[in-house]
Amino acid sequence: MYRASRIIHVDMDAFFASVEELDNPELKGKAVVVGGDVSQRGVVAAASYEARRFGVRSAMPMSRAVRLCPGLVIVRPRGGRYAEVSGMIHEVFERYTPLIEPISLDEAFLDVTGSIGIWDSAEQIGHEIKDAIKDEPGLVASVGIAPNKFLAKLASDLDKPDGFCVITEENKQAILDPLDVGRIWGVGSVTAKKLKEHGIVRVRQLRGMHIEHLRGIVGNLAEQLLELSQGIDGRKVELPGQAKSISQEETFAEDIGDKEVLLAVLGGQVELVAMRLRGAGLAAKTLTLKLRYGDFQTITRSRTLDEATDVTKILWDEAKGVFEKWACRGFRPLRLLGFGVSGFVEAGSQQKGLFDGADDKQKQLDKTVDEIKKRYGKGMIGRKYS
Amino acid sequence: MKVKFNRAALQEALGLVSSVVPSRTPKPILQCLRLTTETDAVTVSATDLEVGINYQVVQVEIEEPGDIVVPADKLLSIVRESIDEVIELQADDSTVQIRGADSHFTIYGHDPAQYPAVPGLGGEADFTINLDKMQEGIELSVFATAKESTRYALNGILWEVEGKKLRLVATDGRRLARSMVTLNSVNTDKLPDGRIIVPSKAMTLLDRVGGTKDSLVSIRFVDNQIVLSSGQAIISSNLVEGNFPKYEDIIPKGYTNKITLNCDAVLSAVKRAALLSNEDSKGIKLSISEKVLVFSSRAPETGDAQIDMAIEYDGQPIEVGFNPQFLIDVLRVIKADEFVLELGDSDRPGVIKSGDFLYIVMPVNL
Repeated sequence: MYRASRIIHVDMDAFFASVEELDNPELKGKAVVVGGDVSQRGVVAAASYEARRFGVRSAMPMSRAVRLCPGLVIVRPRGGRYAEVSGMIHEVFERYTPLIEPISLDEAFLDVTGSIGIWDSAEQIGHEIKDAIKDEPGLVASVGIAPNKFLAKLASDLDKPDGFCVITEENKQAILDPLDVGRIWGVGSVTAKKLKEHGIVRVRQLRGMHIEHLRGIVGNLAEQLLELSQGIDGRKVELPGQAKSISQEETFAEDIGDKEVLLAVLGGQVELVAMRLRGAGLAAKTLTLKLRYGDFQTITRSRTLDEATDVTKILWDEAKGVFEKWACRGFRPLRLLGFGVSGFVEAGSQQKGLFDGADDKQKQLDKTVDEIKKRYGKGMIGRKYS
Repeated sequence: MKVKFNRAALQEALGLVSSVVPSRTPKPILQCLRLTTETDAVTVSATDLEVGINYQVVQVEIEEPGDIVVPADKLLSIVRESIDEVIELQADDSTVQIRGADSHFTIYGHDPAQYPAVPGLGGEADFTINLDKMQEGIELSVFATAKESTRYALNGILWEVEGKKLRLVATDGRRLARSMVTLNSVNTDKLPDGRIIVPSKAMTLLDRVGGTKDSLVSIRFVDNQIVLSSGQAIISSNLVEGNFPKYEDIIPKGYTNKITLNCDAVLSAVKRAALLSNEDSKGIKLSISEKVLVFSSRAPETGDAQIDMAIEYDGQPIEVGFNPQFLIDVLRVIKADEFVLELGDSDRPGVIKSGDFLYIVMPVNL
């Protein structure tokens, strides 16, 4: 029998900062941020609502946050404690449904479609979760309820902090229409700018576009944007363990303009990612480099292989190729470099190659290196990357 | 320049020549065609700096000789959409007028002096081949080249000349096709050193050249280039520099499981089995036992398929998985009614033979 999906999005309000306030009540009511050192170019991981009043936002460089908010209290992050509290919240979710997709420590989607019947409604579950989080760890969550993930996330955001918002098939268009197109999932600053250049600022305008016209502006995103602008989102709540990508990235203490140094960093990342890939018994088809310049402009460069691989040498050759291609077109010093792989298939389940003989040696080498690293630590052995 | 063209002949020429024009290039002039008048013909040229073509259109009436360079896509569209039998091109200083019975287009040209030279044959042929035999050889191999590759020189076709035989070898690293063409005449002293690898773009282009049963292809090697001339077309191309894998080592020897099969019947069975193959592995299974070959597939969340075929076979039972596309590609181009399938263990490549054509395809783990 068909039953309309009921998805709940739970988003903790200023999670890291609230945990700090919970553990240290003196901080209550102060402008608090959790994050790294100003001198070490740290960034704001989370800001209390008091700090936000001064314009402090997460992912902002700490140096800027201090300038905006002179009395700012900076607390060093305590990852273990956040994970512990997150685990308590997760236990609350599990009372209502096994279909939980954690997005991060402080955010999750719950599919409660099948839970209705045991509970009266998704709204009842939403209220109970909100109350339980307030009673047990003692934190405030915003809850959004809707027929799909996109709308549920939008709902939890609309009424923040301490929010509770329900979007239904009936009211969704009225809620969506006046919103800025930037609120649509998948519309980043670049796409938003492109749309604005064509006079499309509100979701209402986006929704009225002809698909071909829109494709001319945003390319392959067109179909997705049109659907989302009508509140349609087919993505399912996915259980963890179905990782879609594996990646490593590094922010440098100072921008690096030395190509050799960057290649060495990249090599180390490829090695770690490849090892994790093999550890998961997977092979990947697509590799992506993430490059962030000193001015925070971030670009990605990808390459998709004919066949999925888990061989370090192949990933390294391809990653280096992508890096060189980028470098010869417009090299600039980097603030951050990252490497990731996606498009997974199970290792061994794929097409065999005619000339795999050469790869067999590499596979044996990878296996040996992985074993040495597992036994004696990651620093014991490495390839030379240049 | 002022020339009257038979529109159909011009359209045919433009259709072929435009396929050389690169879709993206830092040099905009490469997105143009050059038209140059000869004594009784107009030569249409294009190049992407790797592969070039000169094509002579003879159904012309030249009133004033000349030389023009015009955007390829615009000229082709105008000629394609035209309803005229005769179309006239006239060039002034920087514009080209295209006139039909009821139409008049003006397009802006480029300076012909800026257009890169497109080589002609420039001397006597090093060897000659029958065009339709060559085209058959190309069709039997070019499909197996890699579409994009950084690992080997796999997006070209390897030419191996031995006596009066030319072997064309193509691979994308997962399957390999080798066809054989007999040369008409050959001067082996002129062959370049090392392995000759011709880009698949040049080979595909030659495959599209029209000709009669007796048409010949004249081939000449100049420096690091190959020039192929046949009928109205002269194709020139850089040779690919790179390592073509040592393929001789991977040709399986000593397979004892051989089955003669009908091309059309297997093609149909493979296409049907492929309908329910798994998204990830994209494989279908061939299960061979006494007197029967079963093609099967399974898509975990959708369903499964099975097609049975009666065969002459009384050897050991075999099970092996293949990417169906790799079988469809080859069965589409084999001209004979039948082929021989040779198999080893399930992790060993399958071999398809038809006359002196050879195809090797690696299995998929299912």
